[in-house]
Amino acid sequence: MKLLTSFLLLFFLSLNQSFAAQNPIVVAMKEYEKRHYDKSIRLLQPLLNNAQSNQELTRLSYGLVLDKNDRFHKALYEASIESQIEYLEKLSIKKGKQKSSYVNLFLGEAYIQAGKYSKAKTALNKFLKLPKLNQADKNLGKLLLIHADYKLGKKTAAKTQWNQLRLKDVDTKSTLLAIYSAYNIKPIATLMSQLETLLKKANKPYSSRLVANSLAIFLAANQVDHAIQFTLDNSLDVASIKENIGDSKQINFYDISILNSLAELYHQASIQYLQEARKNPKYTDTALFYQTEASMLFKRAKQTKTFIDEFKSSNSLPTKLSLLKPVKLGAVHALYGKKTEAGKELDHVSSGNTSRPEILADILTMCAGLQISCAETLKISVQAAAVGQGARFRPLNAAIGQYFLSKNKSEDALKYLELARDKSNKNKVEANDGLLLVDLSEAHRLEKNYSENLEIYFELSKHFPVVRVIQEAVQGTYSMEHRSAGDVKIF
Amino acid sequence: MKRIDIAKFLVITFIVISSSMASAAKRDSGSLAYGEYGRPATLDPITSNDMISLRITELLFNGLVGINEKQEIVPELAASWSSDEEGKYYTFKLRQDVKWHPKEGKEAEVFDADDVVATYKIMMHAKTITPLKVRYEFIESVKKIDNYTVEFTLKRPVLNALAKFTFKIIPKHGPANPVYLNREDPFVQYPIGTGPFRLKEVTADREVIMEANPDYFKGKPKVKEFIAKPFADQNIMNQALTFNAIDMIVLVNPRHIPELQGDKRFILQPYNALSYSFFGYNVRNPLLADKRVRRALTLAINREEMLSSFFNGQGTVISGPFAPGSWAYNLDVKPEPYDKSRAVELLKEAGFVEGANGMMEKDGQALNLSLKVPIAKESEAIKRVVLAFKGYLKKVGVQVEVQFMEWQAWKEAVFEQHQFDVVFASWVFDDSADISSLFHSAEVGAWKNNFGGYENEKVDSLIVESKLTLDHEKRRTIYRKLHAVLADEAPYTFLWTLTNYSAYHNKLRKVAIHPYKFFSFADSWFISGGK
Repeated sequence: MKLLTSFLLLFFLSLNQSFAAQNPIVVAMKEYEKRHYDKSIRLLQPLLNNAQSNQELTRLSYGLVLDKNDRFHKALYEASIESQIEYLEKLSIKKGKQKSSYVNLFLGEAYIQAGKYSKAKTALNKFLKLPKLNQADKNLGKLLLIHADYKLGKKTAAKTQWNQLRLKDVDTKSTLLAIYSAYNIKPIATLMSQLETLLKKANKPYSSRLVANSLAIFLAANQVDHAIQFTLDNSLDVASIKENIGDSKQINFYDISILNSLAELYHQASIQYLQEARKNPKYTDTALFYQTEASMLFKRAKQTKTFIDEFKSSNSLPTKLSLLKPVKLGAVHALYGKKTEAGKELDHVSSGNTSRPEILADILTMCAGLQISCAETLKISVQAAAVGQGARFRPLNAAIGQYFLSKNKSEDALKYLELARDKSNKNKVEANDGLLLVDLSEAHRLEKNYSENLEIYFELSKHFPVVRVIQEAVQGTYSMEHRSAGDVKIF
Repeated sequence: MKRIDIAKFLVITFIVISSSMASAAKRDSGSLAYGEYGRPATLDPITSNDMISLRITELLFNGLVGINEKQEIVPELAASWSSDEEGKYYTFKLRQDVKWHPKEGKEAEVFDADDVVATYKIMMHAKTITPLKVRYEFIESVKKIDNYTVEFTLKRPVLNALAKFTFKIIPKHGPANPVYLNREDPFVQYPIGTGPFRLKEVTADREVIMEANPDYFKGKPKVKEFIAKPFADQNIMNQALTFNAIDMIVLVNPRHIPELQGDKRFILQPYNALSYSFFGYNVRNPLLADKRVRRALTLAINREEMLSSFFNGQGTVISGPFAPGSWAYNLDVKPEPYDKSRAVELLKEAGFVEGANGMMEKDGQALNLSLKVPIAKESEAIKRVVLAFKGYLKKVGVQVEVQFMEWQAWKEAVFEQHQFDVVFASWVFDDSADISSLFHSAEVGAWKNNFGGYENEKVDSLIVESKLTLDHEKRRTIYRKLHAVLADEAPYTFLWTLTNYSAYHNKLRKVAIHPYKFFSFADSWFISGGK
């Protein structure tokens, strides 16, 4: 991804050095290189409608920032599902008078996000059986239960049941609006208008649930700019519910779908802005490359189809990107049910590129992202990484780690991810790719090194407060899982 | 002057490394020498309260149970255990194949239930100097059922009770005084245990040499010898590693990470001990008893700048008494930013006025503070930290006298005599993040961890509540409250958590590191041919 930034920087530097240093696109892309995506977005936004600026180049840059941001949030979302379920499952089996009332509500919701609808129903039914539930909570539980049924195929009944709910609570109502928008059940204009009313009524800061639902609705209305602005104007780390049990117990529950909403938002926005950048022939193929890659990694078969033919015939890609073209063309088969064919093709590409760590890394990233089995590529990559030295091999180590992680081999993953990490700046997002840090934190969590996981997220939270969703869950698991004597020493 | 200093440094480095190289040449190829940043005060598991000793005791001793890499409780000296439903009685069936390391010229004695009973009694004896008492106050009694069975009765059920029985067992025939243990007992310098390694020699330079225990009940370890080598200077320790005079550094100075990262001979392994550095205040000094003064001192120093300048930013500034990697860290409490003006305001609110020389004084008494720093901490970075502290405080009218002291003398001044105004030090916690011994008023006293004499009713009651609960989420909530209260109360200026990396030569294999005790799994390590 650094390739394009370098390309952009070179483009400006070739014009005039002092001009380049002050150019807001260059400044924004330097922030992007440090993974300060929000800063980069804020710097580029004013240029989008500025007649003085190079419109297509601005859009290409903006699209690129959004593209990287979408993958990062997608990785966070996937990590959040795992960590949330691990925590809530442990919490749900706790017994006693001070048992949480909400645990099964959020567990049910997390199961829906994970695609485990029957388990979701079991948890939500447990929640709904609780005595003394207030009406708003009961309604939220019911509408989520109906959502699980909808996902299990009972669509007509679900629509009728949703329609019968009489909702007053802002968060609950926004959840139903988001569901309607996701399945095109009601006209989007109506939903937008209802959402605007809710947002006026709601107290600030908005809960993670309300933010998540709002983003989903804005997105369905194709209001990506408005949605991006909404993320910049609002806190993303506010609990959906703070449950107080007695005087000394408070549990914070978060809606993990906020991470999905953010990933979807950035994805859609990036595709849109890259499309606009393509208007300038100079950037057409480059923008198309990133559109194709992003749609593949988001597993959007239909969307990928709209790009792939053009991508096949693209002939003015920068050299480094054109080297990766066969990787995308090999991997794309996986989107259409031909994973074995994809694996064979990618293994073939890797056998011709044994001395190119960047190509091997790209292949493994696609294999991990699309769950393709790439045994030969892995073998070649492990051999290459064993003899390779320096920063050039870090992405390859990261990709090997990511591949192992996708195969649930967390111990092997950890070994390679640690090799990829810049240890001089251990958890700093400025020095380490965000995706690497998320993979590392996941591998550490799976190996029960919870404190390593939490340290990574602590650093990430300085730039991405939304990771609070994950931090709270991992802290909860860690507090239950650790086995230690209570020792402390001075040094 | 600078040139002379550099020349002096190079000569000293050469001498130290040459002598290390010479001893390295004499070393058996199966031995593992590791660098420590100081000398251990004692080598037994009861009186020691520093990390250097802890690491050594991990090689020499065993607990009834252990904790494996997956956070599971596993058998050690106990072959099995059981408890009643309520969790008040714990019965341990002991292994019958364990021998103590032999005392010089004597046959090795057999480990049995009497040793467990004796350990507990010595540990809890009023005259025994140990930080462990507070941790084991929940035990009512211990009883020998038969030679290989012991039963512990708890005062009340506690969270993670079984994990508490990881405390190390010492032999009843070990200490000269069979009733209690203090630092005068020869046992604390020449202990015998049941562990994978046994003490062979403590050299005149306080190198601790431990040899593999051929009778170890889990099988003889593969590494023949462990040697703990103390280094006063971390630069020299790093040089010793790169010149192969030592094989491992347990805690790499963050400034050396870039160099080691680029050297394929070494493996850098992160391990997350929950630790942080702090300036701790002695609230027995009436001027420091006012929390506004302590908060002013916190606001007056630029922690981000210090971390960035002296540690290359390799760590993170914290807001309270827990490390950010801990489950107990309150994410809502943010570190207060550097604010010199606010610091001055707070000092004035506390009754200080600017004196004629620009220094703050109250009732004619200037705010002059003594800062004591252990010499083991006398690395270049730490020197800069304390000098920066002095410089920052001077800007708000506070005078600081810095005194570097030998480690043991520092501990006596701080833990025993309480003769200091401010100390610079670091705490390391295991996963339980238990801060009770640091801030509870019952822990004020000689050789106790609340050396600053801090007392606060609310903090006391929260700590007690956290000890009594059996509910993880409740304990987590209480800790979050404690974090907020202590951030506001500022008994310490909480500084930062630094990056923790161990570095070792790639000839060492199967190296698993316990994030706190470090050597818990060292009996499985081995040394290959190396490169």
